Amino acid sequence: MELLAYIVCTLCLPLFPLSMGVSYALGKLRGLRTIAFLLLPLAGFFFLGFIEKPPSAVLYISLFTSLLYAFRAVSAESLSRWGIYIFVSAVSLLWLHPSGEKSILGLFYALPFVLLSLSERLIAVRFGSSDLRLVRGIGLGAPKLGFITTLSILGVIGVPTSTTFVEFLNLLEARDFFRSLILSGVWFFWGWSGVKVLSSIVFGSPREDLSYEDLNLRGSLVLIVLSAFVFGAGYVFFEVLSYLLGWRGEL
Amino acid sequence: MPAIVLPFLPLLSGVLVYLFGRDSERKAYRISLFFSFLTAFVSLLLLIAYLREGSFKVGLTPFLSFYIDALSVVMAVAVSFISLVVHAYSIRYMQDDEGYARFFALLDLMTFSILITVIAGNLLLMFVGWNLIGVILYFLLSHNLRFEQAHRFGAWTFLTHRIGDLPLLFAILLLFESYGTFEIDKVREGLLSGNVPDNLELVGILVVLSAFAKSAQFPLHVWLPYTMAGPTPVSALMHAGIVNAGGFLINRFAPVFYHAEYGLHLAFWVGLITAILGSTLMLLQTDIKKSLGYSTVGQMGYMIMECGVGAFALAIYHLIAHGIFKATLFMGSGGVIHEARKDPNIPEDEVYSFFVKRELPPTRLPWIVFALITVSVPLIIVLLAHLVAGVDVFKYQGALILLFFGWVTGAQTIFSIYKLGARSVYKLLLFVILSFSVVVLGYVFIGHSFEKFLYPDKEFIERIYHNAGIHPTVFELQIILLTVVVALGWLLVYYANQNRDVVMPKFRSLYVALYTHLSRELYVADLYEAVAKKLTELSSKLNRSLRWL
Repeated sequence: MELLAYIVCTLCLPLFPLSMGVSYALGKLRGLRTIAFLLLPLAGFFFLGFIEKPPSAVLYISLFTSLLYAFRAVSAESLSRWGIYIFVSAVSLLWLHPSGEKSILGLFYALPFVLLSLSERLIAVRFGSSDLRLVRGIGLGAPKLGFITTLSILGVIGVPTSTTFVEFLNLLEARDFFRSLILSGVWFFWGWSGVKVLSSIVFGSPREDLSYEDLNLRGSLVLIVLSAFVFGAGYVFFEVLSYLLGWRGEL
Repeated sequence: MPAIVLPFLPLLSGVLVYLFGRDSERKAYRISLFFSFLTAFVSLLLLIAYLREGSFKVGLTPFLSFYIDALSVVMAVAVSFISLVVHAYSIRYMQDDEGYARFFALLDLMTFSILITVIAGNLLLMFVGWNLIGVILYFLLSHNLRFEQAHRFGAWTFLTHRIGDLPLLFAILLLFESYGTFEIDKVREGLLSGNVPDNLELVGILVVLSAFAKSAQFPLHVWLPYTMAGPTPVSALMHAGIVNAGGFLINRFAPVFYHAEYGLHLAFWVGLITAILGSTLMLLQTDIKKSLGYSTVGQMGYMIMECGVGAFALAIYHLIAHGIFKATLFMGSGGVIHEARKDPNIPEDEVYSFFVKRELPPTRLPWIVFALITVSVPLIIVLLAHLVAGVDVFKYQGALILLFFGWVTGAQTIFSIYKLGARSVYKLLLFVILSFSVVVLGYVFIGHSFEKFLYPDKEFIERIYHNAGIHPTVFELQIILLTVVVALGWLLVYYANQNRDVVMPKFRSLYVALYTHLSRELYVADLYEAVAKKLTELSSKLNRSLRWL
């Protein structure tokens, strides 16, 4: 069972060099990418529960994979590619979780990527592509879509209280210098690539040769609710954590 | 009750402005201004509550808890009032802007983030506020979505703050490992009870490192003077409120420095370098806003240095005083620029003339008279002020260092009078000395009172002063050496002035070279640009070689 768990986990929580195949497949999936973003961490986390304790080499490879894809995200040429790089970078880090944590957390960490994927699809459908060199000025041309895209990017790069931020916080080991250093690098590259994407696609003057169609009310509401989940779930985590700590203190 | 309501008023305002104010500027600013007034009023209620009850903790939920003490109350009042002034100023300044409502919503969110940071009772909540400051600042600076330069420097700001957030996060986690709680009051109790973890020195260093990024300390200072492309009210809020966060953070973690000293020494040296660098670069700027930006860098250096010498309360007084005068300067700068555009007679840059053209203003007074006044008068005033206030200046090394700075600053002021070459020099000099005396007396008295208010426990603050100290002999030698260098420097400057030459000819090329390097701001920004460019190229190359994999 453990062998099977390893095989599934290396595909769902991709490690280099298998991550290249996952990255390629995610690029090809297009419309189904949202579902893949949801299922991969969920399945990966589920099977991770069957692995007692991954060898330290696997943990180092997961750190390397995360840093590599975070660094690649800095020069991503489209929102979809950027999302895939950050997804691989974030999900590969889940190997670092202490064993025993169960699959529900996979859903927790998948949420920001689901939101990003939906925003990306909305942009790609409207403009034919989410290429950062072609599409710009969404913030002014389609303010609601720009707002949702901004929230999704912020959620993915780990702005508090998004679930990605909670994941990052969970993985930090202040006493492990090497791990902290790599995670700091990952955190920095996520942020750097995130603001580059924002500056390219959301900011700037709208192009005159493009038609900017904004979200309708229903679409906006659905995405706002999802955004509230992305940031609200992290907040709830902090509340539960603070409650448990307070309860422990009273004991 | 006021503590619970206070941070949520601006948050509510931000949401309401965004929802209902997008179609009407009038509606947007009315909502925002109303809530700003309310926030300022509630902050005063909080001050009253503190004066009545003393420190207390109040929680809406286990995570959303607020710790009210002298520091949080002072900061909350200062932030609320500065925010109110900036809101009022923005009403007309931002008129006809295409993102009018967005701007006010962001301004409200910024006030919310700062308030959350300063009154948080939970270290994680404080970190959330601390991090959001950097994020919202990025959006405020990039407010003009069509202006590419603003986005570029906004991104610099975001990244500097993001780098600076990490040390704080590590410090919080280390404290959590030791005390098993994120609650500020419990961590404080743990630290003061003598239960000290072995890595507390590291925690101290991490805290000051985080403060460096927010307060634009060398070499993380570049974001501040370059963010002038943002709207002027944002500059005012940034220079009056946001950059002060570093001083607040060090004060919030004061119990750490009750036991740890390395962080204080680091703060002193980095603050000193930043103060000198910021003030020097300020003199070389030709753009009024950039000049004010570097002036803030210098002031923040001074504030961090105050923390480094153990004068924590003085740093808080400094940040509030600086916040008020810098906000005024920024909000007035628009008018000055507007007037300057009408007047084609732009005066030649004074520093350029001094260094390169070697042109000095005429003076009819004997140089030795001014040299003696310059060297002695500020020193006497500073010493007398401490004597009147009853502060034993020779007891603490920190106080001596600040006295030293007061002396040099006063001397600099008198020297600029000399350089002006005014007709009634002595009359002007008298006014300057009187003003200087008032400023120094005010600084000493208010600083002293502030210390009593913020840190009533004398033993606590004495211990921090002690930790900030170095070996007495080394310290005294340094002070004597610096005094001699400064006094000789002033004499040399006056002598050179008298002889109509800035420096001896053989040093002339050195001075021009120095001017050149300083005018390029010591290439720090260039270095960051080059590193960023190289990393982007490397990432591109990697992506090209791996294609879609």
